[in-house]
Amino acid sequence: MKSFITIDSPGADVLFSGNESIARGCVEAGVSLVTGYPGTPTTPVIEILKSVDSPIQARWAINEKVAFDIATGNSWAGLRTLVTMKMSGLNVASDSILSVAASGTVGGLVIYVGDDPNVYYGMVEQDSRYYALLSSAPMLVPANPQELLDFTRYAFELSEEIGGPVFLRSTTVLSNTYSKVTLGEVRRLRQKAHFDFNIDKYTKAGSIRCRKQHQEALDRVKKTATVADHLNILTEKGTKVGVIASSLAWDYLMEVLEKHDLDLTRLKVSTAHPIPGDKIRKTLESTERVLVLEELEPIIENGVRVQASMMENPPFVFGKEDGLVPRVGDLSPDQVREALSYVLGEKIEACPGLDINEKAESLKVERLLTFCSGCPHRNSYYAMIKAMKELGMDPSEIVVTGDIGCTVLGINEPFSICWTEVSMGSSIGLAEGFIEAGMKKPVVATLGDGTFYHSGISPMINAVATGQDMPVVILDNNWAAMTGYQSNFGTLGGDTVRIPIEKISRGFGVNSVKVVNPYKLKKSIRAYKKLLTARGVNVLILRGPCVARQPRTWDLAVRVNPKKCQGFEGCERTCIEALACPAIIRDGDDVRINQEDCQSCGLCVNYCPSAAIRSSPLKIRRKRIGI
Amino acid sequence: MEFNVVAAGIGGQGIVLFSDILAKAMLAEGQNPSFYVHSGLAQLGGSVSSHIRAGDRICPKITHGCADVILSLECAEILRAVPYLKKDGKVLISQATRMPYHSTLSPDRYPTIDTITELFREGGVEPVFIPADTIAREVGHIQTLNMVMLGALVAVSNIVDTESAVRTIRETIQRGADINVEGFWKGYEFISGKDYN
Repeated sequence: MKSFITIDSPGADVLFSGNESIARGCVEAGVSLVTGYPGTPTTPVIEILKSVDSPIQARWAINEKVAFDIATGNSWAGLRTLVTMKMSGLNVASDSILSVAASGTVGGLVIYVGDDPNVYYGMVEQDSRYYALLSSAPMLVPANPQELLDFTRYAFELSEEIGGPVFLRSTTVLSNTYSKVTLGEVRRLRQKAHFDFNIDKYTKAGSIRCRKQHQEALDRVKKTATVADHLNILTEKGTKVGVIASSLAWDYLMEVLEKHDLDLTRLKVSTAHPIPGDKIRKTLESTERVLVLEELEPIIENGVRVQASMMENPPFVFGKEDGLVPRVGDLSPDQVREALSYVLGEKIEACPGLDINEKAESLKVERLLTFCSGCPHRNSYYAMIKAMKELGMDPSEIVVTGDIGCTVLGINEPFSICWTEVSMGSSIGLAEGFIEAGMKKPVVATLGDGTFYHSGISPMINAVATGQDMPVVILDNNWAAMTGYQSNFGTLGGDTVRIPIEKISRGFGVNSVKVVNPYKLKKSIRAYKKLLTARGVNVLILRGPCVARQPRTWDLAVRVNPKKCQGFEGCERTCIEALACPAIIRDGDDVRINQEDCQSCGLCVNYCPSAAIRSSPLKIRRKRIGI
Repeated sequence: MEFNVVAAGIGGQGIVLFSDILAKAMLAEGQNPSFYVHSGLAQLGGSVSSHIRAGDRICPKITHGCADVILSLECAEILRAVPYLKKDGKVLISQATRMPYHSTLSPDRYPTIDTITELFREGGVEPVFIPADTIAREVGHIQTLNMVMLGALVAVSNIVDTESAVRTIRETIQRGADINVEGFWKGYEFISGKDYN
């Protein structure tokens, strides 16, 4: 079956997610390279393009800055390029982005960034639209999957028309929304790489050059205000109340207006930078009260307030600065209805629901994040704590720095051993800081394989060079698991040349490197004990593949012997309490293993104080997959 | 016509596939569907929910009090969907349970079927419980649970024809389409056989 991503049938209606629309937009725009780093909600674009048969080269880079630099080279050689990242990744790439936004680009260069209002995934609640202002580059903010497709295609044209990079900004909710999308024509551009040797454009040596580049970037934004203004749509209705809304807030507004038969003057803003000054002015001139709706920071709102300040009799502007619309979290049709009620001065009634919401809320079950059953990290943290105790250390007094990804789940019960989460690869630098401050040793740094490649290498070199005594624990599960199993440069069976972590760390002279299989508990504990007492920077790699990606098909069945099991009430510390394995279930006082979930990792067999859990060979032997 | 469903569950139960098949079947019938999946870090056993809509507007989120049907693939997860339910809406609950860590340690932190029934009755709605996990295992695999619930949804709502639903299941699921279709029918019959319409 041919994929809808690449099929050349203009006018066909398909069901696309926001991310599929962007992937399709690249195909329609004749893009030559798509690169980036995995980060929810933007990850699927590259995964989709990797899986289809198209002339587009799609591949992951080691981190967002490198991805953006690769994209820039491709653009400066005259080819169309998309680079994808989540908002945190934009911070990583920003150094290069600001520089390239000043220089300008040749082949269309579009930066797809995904923000996460309401923090569905956990990281800083950041409004990346500020980067458009900071770097003087235009930013398009679509409102639905159809616009994601159309704006992606247009963003390349705009980028080439103004000669600079263009941001395309989506959010978690928008990128994960699926709706009917009408396909456009597939373009195949036959481009040949060509470089215009121009130091004035491509270097920053000399203040005259840099000031000129700054002016040119500002001119590009100014030009965008004219050429891209058709994306901003003003609907004048002659009402005293007007609304200015952007991206998803526009969808929520239309939901409320149509549901309640309200036909107000409204302006849809699709260019977050530059904001459409003329159309905002027009809206303000024809109304007495204006509500501005956008998610996160009051960026458009402040632009509206600036326009209002230049008027003799400006209308009242409502939004975030007055506290009516929240800055924290995302919006919903209900919040928009309430804000609009306030501005209209009359109550718009909510839909009549059931009167049991509060009670339902109080009964809700909170689901604490824990490792999957059979996850190698559970074994790794269990062994770490066990080793500390065997060495006479109190795990609650030891500083263990954590990093981004599944590895940080060591923060949760029952392990409660990781204490920090800052950014990709930061655990090693943090540990160095704690050591320098004089914290009791050992201070342990933990990170995953993905974070090590992304940003963990330079802090490790720093720790070696400054002569620290630091145990570094690398929980290597072979994939970027939390974002959906992308391969990295250490992945066995990955799609690049493999550069193992142990080779890299040996290369810059750490004291010792040991690779251990975390499913071998005794070996792991022994390795930890050595690691925690050694001098210098020592690296322990606990290598076992992510079970969600590579299920362990071992030939063992793990069962509880009810005769030996002390029962839930009778046991001093039950396996459920100590391991939080989702495959161990409690049935009244009985403890059972759910065979549908069990990955036969054997940790509970090792743990059980009454030796009541046993593993026995299955009758049908299955081949073991793994490392 | 506007039709809204909020489906809830936990990571791994197949909410995305459930929504995808329903929306594709709607599209095949000429309706204008959309859905939005709120998954968070669901892969690790967290909560997932999906807002599935048919209608002219493109707005990912359903307004509180506007869902024609709320359903859950995991028993307690239905509670997250309650605010979206219409006054005369329908409630479908799978009896599959997945206790998180803290509920396992103290089971009174996990609501019983009686508690949930009582809650909805207070709101004047009779919830329908479906032994979807048992049905799915009988059919051949626990992973067909989502199709059992899809069958139940189609039976209470008639939002799509059974024919287009089955065709979409076959087009979308390559491996094990037969048992998924069977799961769909078992869920459909569970409702239609007992006249819950």
